Amino acid sequence: MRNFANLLTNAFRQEGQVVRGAVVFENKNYQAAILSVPAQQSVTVKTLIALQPS
Amino acid sequence: MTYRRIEDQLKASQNNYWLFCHAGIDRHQCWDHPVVPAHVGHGPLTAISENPGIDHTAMPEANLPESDDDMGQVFKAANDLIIRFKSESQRQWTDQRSRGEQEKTWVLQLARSFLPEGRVLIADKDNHVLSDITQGNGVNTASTRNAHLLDLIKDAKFC
Repeated sequence: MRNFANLLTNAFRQEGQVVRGAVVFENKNYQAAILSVPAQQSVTVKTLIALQPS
Repeated sequence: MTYRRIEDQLKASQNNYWLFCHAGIDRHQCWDHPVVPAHVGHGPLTAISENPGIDHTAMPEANLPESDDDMGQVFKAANDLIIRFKSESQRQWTDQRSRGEQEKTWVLQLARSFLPEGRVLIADKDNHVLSDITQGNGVNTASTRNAHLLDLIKDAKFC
């Protein structure tokens, strides 16, 4: 089980790449996919987090 | 919703835009206009460069005095130019805001279509949550709306 903060940090570092991992968020287990969108590629959205219950 | 980054970008572009416009007016009047001698550029024409309405690059005002003489015609042309640039700038600003909303909508729709039973969070440039849709109900979770993304993380090693 990965730390959600670490996964988010990795997503910010690997901007433009989808980072996946199992996380605990608000006391629930999820399979997470996080995408940090490069600034020049988006007007509004910076981070997209998809959480699938596991 | 935070548009601080967008506003910064637009302000920067507007500043460049008006500096360009400003320089263009000065050059046109001092070099190209046949009825205005070059030395006049140190007289009435300085009213253009010193006009606070133009110097206020974020919101320029077309308030140069329009009289019936040659200078009045020059000022009128400058005022018209300012109005056109101002209109174009406002249109671009509106388009940019509209694009931001559309972008958020389609990203959310795409994510929901691939993950109908999951939870989707979208954060803006300042890491504030724009949308937090949970398990197909299509309703934003009120508690996380506008919350900072990092404030949602309650990991033991992170807090």
